[in-house]
Amino acid sequence: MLGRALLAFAAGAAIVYGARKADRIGITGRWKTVLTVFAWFVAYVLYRSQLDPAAAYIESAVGGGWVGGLGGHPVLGWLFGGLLAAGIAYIVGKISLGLRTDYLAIATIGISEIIRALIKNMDWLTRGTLTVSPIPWPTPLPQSFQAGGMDNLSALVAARGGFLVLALVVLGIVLWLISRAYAGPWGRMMRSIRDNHIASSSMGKNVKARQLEIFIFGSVLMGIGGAMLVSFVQIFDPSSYQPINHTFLIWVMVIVGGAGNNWGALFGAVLIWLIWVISEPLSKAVFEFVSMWSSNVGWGAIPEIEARSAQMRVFVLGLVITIALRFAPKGLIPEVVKRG
Amino acid sequence: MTELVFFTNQVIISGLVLGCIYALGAVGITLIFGILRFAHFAHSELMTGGAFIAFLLASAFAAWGITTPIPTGFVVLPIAMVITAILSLGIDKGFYAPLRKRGAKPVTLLIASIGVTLMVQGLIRLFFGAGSYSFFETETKDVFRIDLSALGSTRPLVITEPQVFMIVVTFVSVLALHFFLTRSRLGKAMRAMADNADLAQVSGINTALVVRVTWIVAGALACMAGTMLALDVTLKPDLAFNIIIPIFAAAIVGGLGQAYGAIAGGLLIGFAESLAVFNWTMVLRPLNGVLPDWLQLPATLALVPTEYKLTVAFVILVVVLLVRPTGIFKGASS
Amino acid sequence: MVIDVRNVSKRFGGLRAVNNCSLSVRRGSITGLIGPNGAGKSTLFNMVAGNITPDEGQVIFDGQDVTGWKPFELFRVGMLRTFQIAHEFGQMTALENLMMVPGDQPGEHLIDTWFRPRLVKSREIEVRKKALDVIDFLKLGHVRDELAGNLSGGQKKLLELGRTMMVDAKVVLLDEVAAGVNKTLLNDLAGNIERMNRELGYTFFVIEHDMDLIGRLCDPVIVMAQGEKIAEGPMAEIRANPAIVEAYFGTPVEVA
Repeated sequence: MLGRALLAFAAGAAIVYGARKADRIGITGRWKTVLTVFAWFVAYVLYRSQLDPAAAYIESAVGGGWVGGLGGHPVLGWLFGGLLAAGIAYIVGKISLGLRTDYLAIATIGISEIIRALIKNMDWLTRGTLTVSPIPWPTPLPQSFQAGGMDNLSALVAARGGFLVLALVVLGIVLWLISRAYAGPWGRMMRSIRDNHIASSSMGKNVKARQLEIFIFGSVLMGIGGAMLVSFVQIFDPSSYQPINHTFLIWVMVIVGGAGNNWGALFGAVLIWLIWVISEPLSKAVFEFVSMWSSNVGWGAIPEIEARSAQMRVFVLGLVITIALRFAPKGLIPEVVKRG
Repeated sequence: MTELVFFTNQVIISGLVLGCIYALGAVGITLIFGILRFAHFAHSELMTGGAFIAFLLASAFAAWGITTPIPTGFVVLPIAMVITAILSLGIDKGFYAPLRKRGAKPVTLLIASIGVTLMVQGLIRLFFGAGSYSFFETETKDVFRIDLSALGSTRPLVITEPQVFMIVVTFVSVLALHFFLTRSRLGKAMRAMADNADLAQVSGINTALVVRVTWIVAGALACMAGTMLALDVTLKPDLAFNIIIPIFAAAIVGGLGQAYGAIAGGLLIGFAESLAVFNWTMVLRPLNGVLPDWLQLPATLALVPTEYKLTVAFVILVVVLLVRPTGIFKGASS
Repeated sequence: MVIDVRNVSKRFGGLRAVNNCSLSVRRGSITGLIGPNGAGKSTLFNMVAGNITPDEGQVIFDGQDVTGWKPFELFRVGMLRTFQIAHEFGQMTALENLMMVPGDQPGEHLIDTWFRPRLVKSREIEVRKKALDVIDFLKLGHVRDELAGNLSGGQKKLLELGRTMMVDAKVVLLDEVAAGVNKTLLNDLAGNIERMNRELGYTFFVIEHDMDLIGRLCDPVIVMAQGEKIAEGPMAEIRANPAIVEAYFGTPVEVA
């Protein structure tokens, strides 16, 4: 349905454009103005006629059924996620890439909050807090394995294994593309811009355009990543995307792993994810131990261990950032400066 | 008249309250930026941490049976400010000073401060959970309703006791800060260093001392802002984390490094947010009598819907960064 | 005239760095630009090279108004420069510093990098060969794979000159290229500039404090003082003019 609305929008745009060019076929002056207004009207009605039911449908649909509309394979959806991210990154980059680094960081955090507020509140498009679910899996779901006669556990393992394989394939392709570009003249040019953008500009490199290019490229990868995450958890809930759990987590992965080195980033991602996941049970164990000891000494047990240990993740994340910045500023796998 | 009172309640008082809090936070950020040249993201946690310290002290006072004529939060505020100032000195020593010594880039320090944010937030949640607290569990929050029926208003002018104190305290601290910066030797040294760090160093200013004083002032003001925010609404672990971007917006709009700019920026953003979500229909309602039927005012007529309130600050921030990256009062640009 | 600077001015705060200055560089010449410190030479250079935009006036390059063009756009129409303070790419090897220069490398576009590897490779081999030739010529072979950030000041200067030799430029702006380069190398360098000028038709526009080098290479020489052009002519004439020497040096020393 949203697809139809998009088509209607395109058709409407074409009509308006056609009307603007009406002087080619001899309609000029006041008649052209009238025609243009009329065309706007027709386009608007056409667009709304398609959008309104789509919006109403989007808002009313309670689970089940397609909300998106085109019915393609989820992997196409991932690519579309990347494309959408590219479009947004283009606008964001155009606005903010001219700023100094720390202003840039604050501006992008601000812009991301604006986008989040929009997604959260544009119920007619994103269902906002109503969430979108279920989102189809690109690989067979556990249920279909169960239907084939597997028991619950192995069906879950098989289904998740299938998703993992697909995710690894995507990761492999992306890594291959990046390494290839980075090792070649493209990477050389990008490094020259990083080292000295003034000289790079004097040597014929369009620094601004290239910065925008790499910003968009990174955003495409992130868009694909977000789309994959959404289809993995099968629910799109905009309010669950907090900067603490996502933006900063990814920063930490890069800083700890080693900025400027793809293997470092990959290593950092796995390592930090492990820390992120185990810090909760680990701190729970520690708390339980301390609690046992303190109640033995007569100080009483620690209340609400579950909730408290869940919060320890944030603390551990912050600790890892500060320690990494202080003791391994170049990351655990630093950038390798190529020689010869 | 009723409409005017309503406008005062919704825009002037709430904008002023919000503006005061933003201003106090933004002054700290701007001072740190002026002296140390980095965007201190963890300022929100100094605010929240300060508020929790004040809350603990207030609870202790209540437990000891000490009652005060004014809200306890304001009585314990000076002590909490001292503790927060010491804490911020400790954070600088532990996390930022080593990086500075190594000559790290501003953006590295920014990321380190985000690390500190996460740590402090984790600790606060560890001890206090994710729930919210109120300073007014044992005492009442006095609400002044000034009857204006003599002036023809059917509604009273509403202002709470903490809000009155907040506006007075902010005014006094801004005045004190002004005298500190313009009259005292240290204040002058701070301004000189914010203007030109190298020149200040060669002209014999004790930069280490200035850095310490900066953290003390910034920490104390952050504690003040956080506590007052908690007194106005409720105290929760993400109290200030949610408003750190508007505070940065205030500091940048005022020109980073400019203390007065930060105050102006804070008030500007506070009023802008209140104005943006204000329901104009309430004020323009009398017009409904004059306007024809088909032009009746809708029930809500706000510039932006309430759910986009925080977005207002970001939009102002982005626009200012684009149009005048150094802020309204030409800020530091190093 | 390949470069024509018309009534250009630039202010920094209250300081008038360049004040209504007009000058031109003849195609095929090696034109020198001299003047005391603070005369506005570097500011003028930066405006010609697109690094800063003039407040007033025009810069014409090859018959085209290029005022306000970005450096990379000027590179594409054939104007290259070196910097007074070496702007090397410190985290890249000397060889890479040269190899990044040529424009239209297919490998600089992501699509070609990924899907037309053979095209990228063949061009890369050409670029590498050219870079190795330049490295040999500059006698930098022993530091070929050293990071440019670790080179000596003179070596960095040579590398900058080398960058301008990687492409066929119409005009090369040299900003104090001799500073920090040893005498024998300087001789080679001057010889090479002459050869590039004579045989390949390069035009050079040179800021230099080494009067011997200016005297050997440049004709004409333009003298700037206090943001304005005060004289132009062959070096011998400049040297012989006491008024210029007075304006330039304050006292007539240093003129050998």
